[in-house]
Amino acid sequence: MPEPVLDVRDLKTHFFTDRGVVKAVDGVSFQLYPGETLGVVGESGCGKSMTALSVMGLVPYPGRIVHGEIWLQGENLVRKSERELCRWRGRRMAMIFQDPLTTLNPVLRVGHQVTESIRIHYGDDGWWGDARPPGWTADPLGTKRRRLAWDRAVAMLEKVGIPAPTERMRAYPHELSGGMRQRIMIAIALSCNPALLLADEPTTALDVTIQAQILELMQQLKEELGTSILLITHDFGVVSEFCDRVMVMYAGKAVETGPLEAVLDHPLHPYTQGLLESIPRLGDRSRRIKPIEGIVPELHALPPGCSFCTRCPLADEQCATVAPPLLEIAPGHRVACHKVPVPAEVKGA
Amino acid sequence: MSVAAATPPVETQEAAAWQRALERERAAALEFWRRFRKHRLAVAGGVVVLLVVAMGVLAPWLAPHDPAQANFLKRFRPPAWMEGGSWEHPLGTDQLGRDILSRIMWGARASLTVGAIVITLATTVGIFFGLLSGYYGGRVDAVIQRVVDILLSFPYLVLAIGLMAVMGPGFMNMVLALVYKEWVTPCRVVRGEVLAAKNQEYVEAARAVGAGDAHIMWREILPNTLSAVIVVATLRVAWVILMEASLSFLGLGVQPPTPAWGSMVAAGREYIFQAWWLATFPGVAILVTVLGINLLGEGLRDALDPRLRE
Repeated sequence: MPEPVLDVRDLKTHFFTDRGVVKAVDGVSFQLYPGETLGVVGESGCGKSMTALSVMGLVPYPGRIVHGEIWLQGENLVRKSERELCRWRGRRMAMIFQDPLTTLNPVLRVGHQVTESIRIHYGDDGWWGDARPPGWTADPLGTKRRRLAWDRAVAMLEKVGIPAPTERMRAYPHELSGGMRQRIMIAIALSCNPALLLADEPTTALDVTIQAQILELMQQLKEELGTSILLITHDFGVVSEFCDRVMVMYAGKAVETGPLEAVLDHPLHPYTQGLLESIPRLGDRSRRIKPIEGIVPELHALPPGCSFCTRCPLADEQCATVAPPLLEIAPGHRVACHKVPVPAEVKGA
Repeated sequence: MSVAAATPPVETQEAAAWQRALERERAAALEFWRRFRKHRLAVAGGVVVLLVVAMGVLAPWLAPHDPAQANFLKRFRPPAWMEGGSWEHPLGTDQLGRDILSRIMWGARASLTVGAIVITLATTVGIFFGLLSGYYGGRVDAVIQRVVDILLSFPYLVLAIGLMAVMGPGFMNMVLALVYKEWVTPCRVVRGEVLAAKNQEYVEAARAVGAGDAHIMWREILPNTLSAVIVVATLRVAWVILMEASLSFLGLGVQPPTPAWGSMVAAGREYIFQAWWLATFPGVAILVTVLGINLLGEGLRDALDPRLRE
């Protein structure tokens, strides 16, 4: 196995509110290998986004990472200072947000925003945007840096499939369509060639036809640049098209992880099964959509046992009191449920 | 090879892109002008302001007489259209025989200069503290806003008079005394705009590409507050001009022999029953200027920042 790009170990991100401690992320561990895409799936409020923001070091107040380690390219981000994190954000790890309408600054030109990351990181840890010309010397006024940032930004816009990139550089965000804006967000995120891309529901705000285009673009860029992607979504359709592995989260915990086919074809956790059954299928009227009964429990008052026991059809005494560990049932396929029969060799170990 | 032949060279493409961007810019400017023009009063206000500015700037060439030249043979000459008046002094002369029209023209300089300098300084200071206050919040915000509250609790004129009494009268002291309080207005406006802007997703996105606090404040948030700042600054110029007139009226502002509208009104007050024109014309000048700026400011507000419309 190669070294993982991202190795999150027992991450706990808690929010200290007036009503008590909200455990938004509560003991999540996962690895992401070079060039791999991991899909993180779950309902709203299950801690998907907070996991990504924890990796970026952007957990909003009153939240805080209280436990765990986040290793990115062999360095622990949790131990880094804000100053160091600033140098890493956008350079080693970048993020795409859900709504490209609000993530672009309305009063600044596209060019300013696409070059921003490059201008900030140019020269950081020996990164010269692979555009540093031979004989490049002093640049006291930053003119060369700006010129190179501009050229690279135009190249990035071209790469994400924006027609007439030089013209778009001078446009304001409101002059562009939603799909175009999301392409620009991708260009910004990938402009410094980060090792890790965190995509937080990148296609949710877009039309379905545009969604497919954006996913295809991300796939293509991933292969070209070798970026590892953490894709957060609530859409199993997106996951099945795009991901190599899946992690299903519920109430701040990972309940099931595994290779794409294993999880989609043989879901083991009752929650994963419920999620998959709640997806409508085209042309299959005989099957009724089955919603998962109940709602996500309040995160500051979780049951002591399995978080899902309040909604689980299989739940019993043990589920309500003892939290199930995440056990490897098949190679690479882990699940946290008392009701899943555990193979003998795992039990013995 | 054929591709290279088919696509125009990069320079041509860039030039064309610039051209189109320029056209769009022009279209945006036109749109602003179209919205602004709909306010007939605002256009009128703009014209008045332009005239007053031109009057002040061109005073040395436009004014028929030296504003400080006294002539005791021609004291209390009435305006030209009254009996005993002549077109040599269209608005008459004052108690020392100085030409009132010339003095009003030169007086525009004092008012406009004070207005411009005070608003420029106050806006700069206000933006700085407003950004800090809104962006960092917490203790920084509490301290800055308490200072603002304290300053707001003083009546403007009383504070200015107090400061002038300590520092002594004079042009620069008056500017400082006015800036001392005037910065709180842009500060509050900027703070409010920052509070609205700082939780926008584009700020989080900027942070996600590695931007630091200073970068986010100045490059991302500040541009979003500028239209509100421009509108408020314009409207406050009128207020500052009124304050300058008040201080000059009280003898604390612009000192003789430099003509100022406020001191002209003060001097004319004594002769209001014998020679009403001494105090009236500079008063009208103040009124027209302040009204013009206010109308212009309201037009700008509607054209630049529709959110501020009530």
